[in-house]
Amino acid sequence: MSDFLLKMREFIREKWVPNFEYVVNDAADIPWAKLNKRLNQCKVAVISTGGFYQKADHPFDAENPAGDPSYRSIPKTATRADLAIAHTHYDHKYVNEDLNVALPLEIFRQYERRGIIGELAETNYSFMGYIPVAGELINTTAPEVAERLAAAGVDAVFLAPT
Amino acid sequence: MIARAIEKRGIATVTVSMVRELAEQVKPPRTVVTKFPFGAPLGDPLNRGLQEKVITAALDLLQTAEKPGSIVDLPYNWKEKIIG
Repeated sequence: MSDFLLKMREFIREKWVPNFEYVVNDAADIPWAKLNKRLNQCKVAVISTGGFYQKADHPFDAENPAGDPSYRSIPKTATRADLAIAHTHYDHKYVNEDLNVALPLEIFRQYERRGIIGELAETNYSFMGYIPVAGELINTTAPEVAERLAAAGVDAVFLAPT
Repeated sequence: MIARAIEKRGIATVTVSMVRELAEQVKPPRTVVTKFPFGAPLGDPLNRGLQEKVITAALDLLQTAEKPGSIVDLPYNWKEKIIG
């Protein structure tokens, strides 16, 4: 493991989660769904881990050492002014200047107008990316979002970290 | 991890990552890697040309990747001026 990941692991163990370990998945076991439409016929959703939420919504629990595996809906029309951020593990200065650096809804709205994608999904999602204890994410909240996306007829998802 | 859950449900995903080694461990279905700071995975603020290059590369991989777990390193630099 690189120095960077080793140091990060030590830091997380010392500060927040004494038995933290990285998730390592099996190469034989990677989920795979082929895109079977042309992109310009696809409904695409955007997902960010930046801890974004609509101002009327309940914030993520950004102080919890075990993280917060929940998610929030982000409408396709959202701008930086419509959203608040609850995430203490990245510098917000870049997204405050330009939301597209992490939650590129404006760019995807343009792609819809330009016919590059079929449409941007009405409902997109944000998680809060500090989740060192990942069980509930893997077993509950991420599959819930997957189910909602499927019910909404989403064909493809673009995910960006923070 | 989120991408894997969505892909399991039958929806194609592409993930941007800033730490290749994490992508190698977690193994999302399709990943493009950028060299940008935490908080700005797609490029520097207001650099629309760069952000679109990253997004385009991701959407290309979404359509063309043949191998589950494909990881592509993007060559772009922070504040790079993209012409055309």
